[in-house]
Amino acid sequence: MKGKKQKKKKMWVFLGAGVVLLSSLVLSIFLYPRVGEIDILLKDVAMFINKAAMYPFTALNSEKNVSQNESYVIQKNINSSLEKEIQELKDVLELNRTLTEYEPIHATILSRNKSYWFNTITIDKGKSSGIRKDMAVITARGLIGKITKVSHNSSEVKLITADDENFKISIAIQTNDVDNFAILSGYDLKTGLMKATGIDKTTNIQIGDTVLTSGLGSMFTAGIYIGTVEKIENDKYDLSKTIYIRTYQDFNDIHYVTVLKVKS
Amino acid sequence: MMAIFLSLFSLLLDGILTNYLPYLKGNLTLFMPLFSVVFLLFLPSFYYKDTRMYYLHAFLFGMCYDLFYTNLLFFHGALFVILAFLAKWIYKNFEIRFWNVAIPVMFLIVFYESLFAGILFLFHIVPVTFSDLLYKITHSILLNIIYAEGLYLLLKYLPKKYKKKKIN
Repeated sequence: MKGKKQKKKKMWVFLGAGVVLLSSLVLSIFLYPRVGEIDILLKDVAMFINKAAMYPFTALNSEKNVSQNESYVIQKNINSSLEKEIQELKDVLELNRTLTEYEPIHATILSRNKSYWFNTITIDKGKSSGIRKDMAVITARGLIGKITKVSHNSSEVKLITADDENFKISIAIQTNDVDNFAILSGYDLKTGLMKATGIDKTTNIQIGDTVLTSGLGSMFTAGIYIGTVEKIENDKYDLSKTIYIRTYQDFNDIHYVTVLKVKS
Repeated sequence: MMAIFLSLFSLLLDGILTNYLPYLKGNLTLFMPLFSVVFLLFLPSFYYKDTRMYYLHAFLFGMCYDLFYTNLLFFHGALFVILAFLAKWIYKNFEIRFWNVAIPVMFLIVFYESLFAGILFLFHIVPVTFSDLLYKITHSILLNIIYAEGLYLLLKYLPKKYKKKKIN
């Protein structure tokens, strides 16, 4: 009798968790604005702890009092890490000179989304720094994504490599004579190239042509660098072209980003 | 207290390692951490009859996981409760030892990844393919087994005052 009761109780826990799981998914994905305020508050606390936990690792690069007795390998690693960081920051500063119509907001990556399927990262700047939803996020090597969620002191960035049907970017391929427009439609896992579809078969696109954001669709303004054309293919019905774009960004190795805020 | 400390340790270590390892589809290393999920396997050793606290711990742990790493409020909270239920069942029916700890770890990871991917697939949130799922699972096994072995040894030799149940 007792065993039966316990089994029933367990079943209820299991069923309850299932219901909460499904409803939470709906809340998280579809009704996000309604739970946003609670999320924002909790998220800020979590990001504060996360920042503290990551501090020893991020501070390692700026360590200046390295003992002379430390091994050569450690010293060499710290130096190369510093050099890389300086170069990355230099690139970002260089980039700022060319983007005069924007107010750049520099941010450090706090964490990556643990769920493999989403391709998002969290940065350490939020509403308090003027960041808003849908702003473009770049590095010195070009566009990397857009802001999807904002809390007071952190924001979520969806990368352009994400497989999301609702995240399409209008691009312009700069050829010798005219700009051709297309839609960036995903990331090819095997080649590591971005894919763009819907290009008229008659257009004269060459390998090496530059790909920028087109400014159409009002998501991003025109002219943000994405990459260069690496491969051109005709579709299976021979009606349109698919191009593969090489971005010069290593998405697995991003530490600093710039959010582009349009100057008011 | 020890359970909370180890939960936080697993949670933070999970994130720190993820920040330094390749994470894009097709670029994963064989050492993808899922330490928070692995820790759930050992969570029953901290609770004896206080079932409510056990599930509450799992739920809050999942909530923290969401806040830190996924931005899906409550999602892992509920998912971790299901995993805790499974961990409890494993604990009751399977004698965990040093040489066989890999089996329940693999079982838990396969269950977790499949359930997660299944829900995403069901709601058409992101495109999920079976080969992607298999890729993710195979790349999440190795490091987590090593972590589980470490946790097993730690809990085996941990003084009794810090835990409620004996580890074999």
